[in-house]
Amino acid sequence: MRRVRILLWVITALAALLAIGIALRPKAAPDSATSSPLPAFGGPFTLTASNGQPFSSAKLAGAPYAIFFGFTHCPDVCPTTLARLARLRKALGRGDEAFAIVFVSVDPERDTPADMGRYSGLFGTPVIGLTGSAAAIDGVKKQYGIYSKKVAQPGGDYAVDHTATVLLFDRAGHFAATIATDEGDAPALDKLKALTG
Amino acid sequence: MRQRVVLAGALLLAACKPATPPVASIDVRDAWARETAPGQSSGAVYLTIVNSGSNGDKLVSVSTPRARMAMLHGSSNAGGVVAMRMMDDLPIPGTQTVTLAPLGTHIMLTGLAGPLHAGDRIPLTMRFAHAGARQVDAAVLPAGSSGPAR
Repeated sequence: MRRVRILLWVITALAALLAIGIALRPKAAPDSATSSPLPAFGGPFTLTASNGQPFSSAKLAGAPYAIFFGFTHCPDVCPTTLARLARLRKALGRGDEAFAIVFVSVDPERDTPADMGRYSGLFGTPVIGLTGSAAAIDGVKKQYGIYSKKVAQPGGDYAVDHTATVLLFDRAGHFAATIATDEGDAPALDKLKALTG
Repeated sequence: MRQRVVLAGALLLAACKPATPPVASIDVRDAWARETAPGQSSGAVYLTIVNSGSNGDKLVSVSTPRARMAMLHGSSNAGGVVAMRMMDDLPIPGTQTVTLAPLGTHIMLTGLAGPLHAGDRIPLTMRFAHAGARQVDAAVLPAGSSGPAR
């Protein structure tokens, strides 16, 4: 019995050390279960809007936003995710202003501002399409904990492996929650309700 | 004499393949593609393949006059990072239905000759190892769609 108690204390101590380790990590990956915002996570940034003008993250202030990283040569995951966000925003019933949908390119080499504008315009609802210089995109990827890597395709083309989790930020610009690619619409809608309530 | 040889051959074939003829066992349904933006070079086609025969088959290639190349692609998700990889073929086991749907296996069209507009129909030639070629039209649906109504 005493041994069990000692073992439990050891486990508790290890868990506490692990928690401290996670808390001290400089750029923690977003966790869908996180309820308190991680202050270092997210903007500020300046990228390029679809009209070619600089876009400052300050424009997102005051309203929640859902940010998703992808590329316009992406035929499956990216349009499926953007279509889903558009559908969820409609299902939420609080209008297009309830939260902004932001789509950032992880393929600035190919995605021009005009490309981002045309692609973002497909979904019948406002989507903010952003691209920028390779350096600017790299900076924003780091800020949001996004991974991406070019992968050669047959025929000389390439695709981009990338983090496809949608990140939700509240009105104050704090990270609030994630929507995973394989997550159902019902829990996703609950998160958006909480975000915009 | 010649007739008897043919008859013997037919009997032999019948003895080897007592089940339904493999040629008629593959059916392709609900083919659709998502609308694309002008300048977008790639698109995706989704569909359902029904193998009503008992013999397995496999989809070995797809082609369309609307794109330079049509490839079988699988999307995978590992820890939130999605990746697309080309597949050499797609097995269609006997008596099984294989569904190509968003976020999973799809037919990726690269080098689109022009944008896919909602309402268009894209002719596809699908080649199966045993069933041979099937001609299918994929309906282009609006980008916000999640598939055809069933």
